[in-house]
Amino acid sequence: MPDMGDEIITDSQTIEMRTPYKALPRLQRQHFLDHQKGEGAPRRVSLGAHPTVLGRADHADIVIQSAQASRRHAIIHPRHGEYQLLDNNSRNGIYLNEIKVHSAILRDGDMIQIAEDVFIYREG
Amino acid sequence: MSLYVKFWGTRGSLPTPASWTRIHGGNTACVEIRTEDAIFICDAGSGIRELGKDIIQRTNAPSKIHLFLSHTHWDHIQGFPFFPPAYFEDSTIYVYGVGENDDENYKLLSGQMDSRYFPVVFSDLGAHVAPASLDPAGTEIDGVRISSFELNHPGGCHAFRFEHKGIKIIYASDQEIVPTENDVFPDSNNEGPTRELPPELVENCKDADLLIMDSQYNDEQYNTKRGWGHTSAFTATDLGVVAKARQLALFHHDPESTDAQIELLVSECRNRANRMESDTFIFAAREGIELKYKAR
Repeated sequence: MPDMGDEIITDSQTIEMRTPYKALPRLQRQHFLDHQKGEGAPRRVSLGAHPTVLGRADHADIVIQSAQASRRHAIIHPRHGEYQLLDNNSRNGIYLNEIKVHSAILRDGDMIQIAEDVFIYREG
Repeated sequence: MSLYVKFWGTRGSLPTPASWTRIHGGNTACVEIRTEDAIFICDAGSGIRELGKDIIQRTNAPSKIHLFLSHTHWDHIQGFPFFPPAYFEDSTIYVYGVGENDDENYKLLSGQMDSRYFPVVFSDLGAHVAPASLDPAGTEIDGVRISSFELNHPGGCHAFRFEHKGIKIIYASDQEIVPTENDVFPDSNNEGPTRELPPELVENCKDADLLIMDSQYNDEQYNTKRGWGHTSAFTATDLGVVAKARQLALFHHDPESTDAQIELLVSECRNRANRMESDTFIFAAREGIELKYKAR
């Protein structure tokens, strides 16, 4: 939780900040996947500093309960402050905004479909 | 064996880094086509810089790189001086010309690294950079057959066709298809029939798995920029439909086009293709997207 600057109200009702609001470095801001369709939806999953595995396997970070999903279907890798979606040689592929892709750098609002499950990528 | 296509630069004319180009990208033309054994690069716009950084980090990347320049306008060569593999002694980069002993592209690429333009001169590059010739009818390179055909663009331009185990990818940037008097143009209500297209162009693009096609303008923009060498996205759509391309990537986005405008254009082109009962899937080329095509 960032420190709030100390707020002082003066007689003239102008607001002065004794210390500036401390912004988090961009690399530390949280990005998310909003799981919009599929078992477990709706829910929000944070993406972290380590790869996130999506798939049918019980040990996947995001479990997709569909026979159409491969066990380790896709991986989302942090990369230069962004996230890269990668098809992990899945049987049925990944769709990004309706395009079947092997990999992609994600952008805010991207729609990812794996089997019947749908996720929206959100930048923090 | 599969063929991979990755977009590293999708913008036309001028690099356009901006908040409003962040999704589709601001780098100028560069597309990578690769197999497990070979790397082919179409054009050396500013997108080639990120491609080069990626190549030198890959394990087991081929040391030979095949560079195909559609033509030598700035937005198709300006990234080469910043292409990291060009500075590595163990790299070999072949710069292709179309036709026997055509080293014009090589000469013009090296000319932009004259010390009056750039501090590192071409002869000081660490890599072995050499001219090479492409037979327009087709040359086999590392298991991929590459052929070429001419495009309508001021100063001349070539498209490249890559064929590998039944997969056909066509790169056709910087191409103007001029509407005829029989066409509904501009088609402001998106109601007109398919436009008249050069038959040889349709034949050259026939049954492509992916047609990467100049679509810089909408109809209204094209009307003010006739003769500049670029095509309206509706005309590009008609080409994809008539040639029965499986996928059409709208490419060479105008530097003034915002991400939102490009998405709107895609939507209108899809409506047009649907109206024509076409199966061609249309999307906008976007930096960082990689597509995979499995051998048949």
